[in-house]
Amino acid sequence: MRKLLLVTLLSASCLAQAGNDNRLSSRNNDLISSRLVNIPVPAGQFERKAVSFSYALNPQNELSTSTPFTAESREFWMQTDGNELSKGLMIDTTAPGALIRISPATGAAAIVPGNMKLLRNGKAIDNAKAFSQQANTDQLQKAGMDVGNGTAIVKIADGLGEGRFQLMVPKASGRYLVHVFEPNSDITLQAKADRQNYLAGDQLVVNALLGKNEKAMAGTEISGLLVSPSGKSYDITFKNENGSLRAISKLPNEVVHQPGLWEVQVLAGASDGNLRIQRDARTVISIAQPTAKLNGEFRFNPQALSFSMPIQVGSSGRYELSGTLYATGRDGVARPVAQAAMANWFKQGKGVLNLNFDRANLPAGYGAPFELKFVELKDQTRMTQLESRESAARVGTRL
Amino acid sequence: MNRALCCIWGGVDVRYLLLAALLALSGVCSANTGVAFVHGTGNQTDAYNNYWQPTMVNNVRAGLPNPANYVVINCNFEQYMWDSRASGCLAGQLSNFISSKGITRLIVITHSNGGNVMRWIMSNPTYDSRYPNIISKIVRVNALAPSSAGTPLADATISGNVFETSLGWLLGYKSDAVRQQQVSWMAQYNANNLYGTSGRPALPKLFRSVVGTDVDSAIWDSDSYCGGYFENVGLETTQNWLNSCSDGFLNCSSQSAAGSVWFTDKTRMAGAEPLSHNQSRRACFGLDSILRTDMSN
Repeated sequence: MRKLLLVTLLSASCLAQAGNDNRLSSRNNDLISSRLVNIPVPAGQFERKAVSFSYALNPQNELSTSTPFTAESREFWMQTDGNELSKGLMIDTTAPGALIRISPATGAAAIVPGNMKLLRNGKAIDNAKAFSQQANTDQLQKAGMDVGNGTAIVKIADGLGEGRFQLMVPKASGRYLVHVFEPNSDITLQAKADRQNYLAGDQLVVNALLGKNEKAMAGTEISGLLVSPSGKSYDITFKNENGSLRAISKLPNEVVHQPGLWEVQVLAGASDGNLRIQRDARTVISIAQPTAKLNGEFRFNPQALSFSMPIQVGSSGRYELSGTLYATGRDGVARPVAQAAMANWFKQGKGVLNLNFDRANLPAGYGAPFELKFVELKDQTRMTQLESRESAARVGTRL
Repeated sequence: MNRALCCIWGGVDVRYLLLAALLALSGVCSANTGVAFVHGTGNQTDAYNNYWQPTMVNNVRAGLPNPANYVVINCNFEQYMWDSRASGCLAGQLSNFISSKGITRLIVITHSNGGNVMRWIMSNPTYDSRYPNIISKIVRVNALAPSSAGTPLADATISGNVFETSLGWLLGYKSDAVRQQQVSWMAQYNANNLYGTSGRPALPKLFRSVVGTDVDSAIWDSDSYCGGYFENVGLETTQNWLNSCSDGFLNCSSQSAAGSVWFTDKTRMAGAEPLSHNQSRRACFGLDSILRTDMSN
């Protein structure tokens, strides 16, 4: 008993050395702002009370850093009108079983699937043989696909293969949007941003590839747009760098009042003999105005397993600090043992947020040294991530 | 009987084991279990009749010790999951249910996007001071066909964006909830705002899914009619946007992306029937019986 008491006291004494202010560590991929902005609080209902929460994690469940999403498209979109549709709209496909959706713009005549005709080399194909599936607006909406009224989808029968078709809608009038989706095609457009979260004014890098099995198609023409949640768009210019298509853009400083993500939209095309291959791809990113930041210091309370971090607030709002506590097992391996978060409302100025992990969440056999990982500062009023540090701090010494 | 043999087993006094068991039992007996039905995308005002339908709700709640301990949520899930009209409304109705009925054990049944709204609450306990109390009462979430990783159908619905941007065309009905359920959007939210997916911290309470793997819509098959025949015809068409394993609206991979898989449809449904996306919120093929049995655990 006396030995146990001695070890406990020594341990507490040793860990308490970490009670002084320390600097948070950072890595290259961390999101860290060097500036602050003062922008208004967006419209909405927001919690004003301080709220803390923590819970135990299963140490055997490994955590990892997430990677940016890779968009992979087998589809493209084009505009047309009633005149073109009534004569026969040319559609090039690269694989059997293409789906064609036609959506009328405001004022255009509704599309009835039974009225659509498919032609090849100028010859009409009997409807029963042309389309293996047809669906009208009502059927699509009831299936959870919220298409606009007057929209119809047909699927070209697999037996007709790929190549050039003409789609005819005799009584079409007005403007239409045509969506061609080729689920069986091996030609894809891939697009990927270099990060998930950015700060306004950061540099955005987008890599894209139109091709088959990671092999790029020669002569690819490509363009891109960055679309803000407000709908405002910014051009993205791609360059061919040693065979790969890459766009590098400085992100705008637009202060967006609407919630939601920014979209990176990429449109690419290439020729394959007489056929025109087209693909449109989209992915998303988050762009934050730097409304608050960690000041880079922390204080660790070993008895409470608590980290205290000062923040600098540029804009009034509700800010959340979250993180994962790693503790060391008897085998000397650090594993995730607890998750904690705290949020509060702050006015412009300084504040403090704490991560109280609670010793009750520490599994038997786990203790110091501890590592604080996946630390994130979020703006809950604007739904943006302001700061992230994959490995923020290591504290405590194992006896 | 030898007193020592009677009361000492494995070095432990059996009297203490019995006492502990009785205490545990009394804890369960004194618990007040309730169930909440959380609908999917849509602005519901009568989800009892329109979304779940009475047979489903009443059969499930019949499994509770007190069948009156239920609430059918009616909120505006056309909004982003964090919106006060979505998770804020859900938190309000759950909090009222917990306090008015004295609920100490809450089982939540969600369908489709309702799983995302519930997961928002469980992943962001600091966002709203009502959330921690709700989480503390939850024993588990039975997520029926949750759209945890989004659906390509949402992408297909929204993709006209390119043209909306350049032409101002607005084709179709595009709520923020549909926008949110695009695959790339859910990937972003799962990686940054939600817990429970691979590589992310687990949720604070059990979140387990029922996965629909196929759509049965043959006109000669009476099973197609459960949940509505015409709805299933549409599902057969939209399945072209999905993988071979899907419920007609969501890929199995999306339904399995968060938490753990409780079961896949064909392993538990009567006649090994699949559950289409519409059927997984209805009393089809014994789903209601399985959920009813779960109410007593």
